[in-house]
Amino acid sequence: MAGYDDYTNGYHDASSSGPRINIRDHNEKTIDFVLSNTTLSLANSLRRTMLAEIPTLAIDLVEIETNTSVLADEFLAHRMGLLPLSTRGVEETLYTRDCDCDEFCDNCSAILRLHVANRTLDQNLKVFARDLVVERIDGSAVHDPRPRNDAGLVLDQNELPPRAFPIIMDPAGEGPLICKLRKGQEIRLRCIVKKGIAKEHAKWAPTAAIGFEYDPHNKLRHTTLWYEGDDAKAEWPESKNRDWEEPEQEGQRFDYNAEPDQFFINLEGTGVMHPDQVFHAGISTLQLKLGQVIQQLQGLTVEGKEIGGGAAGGDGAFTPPAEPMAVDMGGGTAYGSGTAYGGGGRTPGYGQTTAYGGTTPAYGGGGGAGGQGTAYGGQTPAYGAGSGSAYGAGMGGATPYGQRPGY
Amino acid sequence: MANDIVYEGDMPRQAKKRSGELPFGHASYHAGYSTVKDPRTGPNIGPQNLDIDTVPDRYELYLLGEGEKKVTFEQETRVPHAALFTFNKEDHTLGNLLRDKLSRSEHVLFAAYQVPHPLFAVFKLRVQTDGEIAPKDAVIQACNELVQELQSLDQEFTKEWELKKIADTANA
Repeated sequence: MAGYDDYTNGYHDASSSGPRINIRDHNEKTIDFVLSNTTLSLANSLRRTMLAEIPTLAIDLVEIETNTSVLADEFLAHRMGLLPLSTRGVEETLYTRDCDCDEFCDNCSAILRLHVANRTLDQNLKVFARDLVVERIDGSAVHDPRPRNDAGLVLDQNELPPRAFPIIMDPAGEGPLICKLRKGQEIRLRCIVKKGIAKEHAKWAPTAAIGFEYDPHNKLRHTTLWYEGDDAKAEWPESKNRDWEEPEQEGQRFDYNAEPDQFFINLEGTGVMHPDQVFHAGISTLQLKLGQVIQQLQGLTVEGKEIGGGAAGGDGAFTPPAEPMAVDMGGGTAYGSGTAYGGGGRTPGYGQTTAYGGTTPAYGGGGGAGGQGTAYGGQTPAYGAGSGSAYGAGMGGATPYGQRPGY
Repeated sequence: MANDIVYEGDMPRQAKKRSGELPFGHASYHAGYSTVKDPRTGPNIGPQNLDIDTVPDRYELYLLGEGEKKVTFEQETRVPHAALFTFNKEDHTLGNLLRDKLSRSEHVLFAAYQVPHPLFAVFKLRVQTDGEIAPKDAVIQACNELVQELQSLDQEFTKEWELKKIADTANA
């Protein structure tokens, strides 16, 4: 243990390049860590991405067959939407808008069925998330292979259930309460689970909250503390991160060039994926965003025209810088010679690809392999060579924007 | 009901509000500026007129519209080595990240971004370089560096996480 502490204490070491992480505490839902040796902008962008742009699964459509409970249909549908569902296998799941099915299918959705009736009970019958039955489109039930004890409870709570199974974390194994049924009341519904991101609806958020703090002693003066008496310090509680940084020295001059370097992050997930997965998914989503920008910009000349497009031909004499650029793209860049732009004259097809859909499976493939190879980096040019490229015509072309089934 | 509006000459009669009906001329009222060109949006930003019907679909925040490009840019004519990039369906997450990275580049003289209107998922990034490198290439370089930085962060996290797990099992 001592050796481990020695190791993590090295996170202050400024000589090492690249961001540093020191995990202070963690449990099945939360990680508390210190991110250092990076910029505020990167830390904040990562935070924003983890909050709003990680693809997860949630109930998107609810078909109500019977509802004689006291809750209105739309009320019930909203409650269903907020149930946390396992994101295991979300990388392989397509967005319905990118799927080539007519409405929805097993590749882009999952079905949850709920049929509960209180026929004889005099007390109210509670309906829990555990009562949901996961089905395929053809109606066959999906089996949860996790080992269970004699009481029917899952042995390893840390293991995520299969795709779209409700997340049940309470010791009784009931899951969230959906509604209560009096004698004679019944609900029977079919829910369609879809992939989405929290920017569209918060039900797709993998995080419950992300605590984010830097500069606990306010040495940078990014915060102006409100105070009503004489001393702001006396009225404000000190941050629990105060011991991680040196307090301001008396009479110290203000350093105008100082920048925040250490970020205290408390990443709390909802349980739909493990918190470390949330972190990795956040990084890859942000990398994907940047990759799209690189991809798009490499298809433009220095003047902002499309390479090989109709516009470039017209002012050919006017664009000598475009020539070395084109050569550069072929040979010199990390993206290899076989970029989608090589063909010229054709739009890269990127415009038709959706921001997340088509590209995600390919990315998941790269990241899932242990996170070693960069998806965009020099060693593994994910954009290269046409056939393996996520941005190739195959997937991109298959998702015309006009049709968005499901909307 | 709408047919019994009687016109007197060219002028419509004064609005008579019947119960449950909007006054005359309000039937096609838009909660916005349907045909007004908003000067704030400028060229090549999303829709040219702020046509706000009701609540826009949420997917418009992150899905590129038909024929829309993720990034376009125009060179500035009055300042050398400067360009104005327009990012579609992106927000502060990318804008601030790129701005910060660019402003740390030795070849970049100026980098700033703005979100012209909060209802449109668009931001504009202005980059001016010293001429050693084109603004476009500065942005590409910034993106590449960020991807690398995120990659090393990912590996660092994996390493720390595995170490933490080993330490936990050793304790238990």
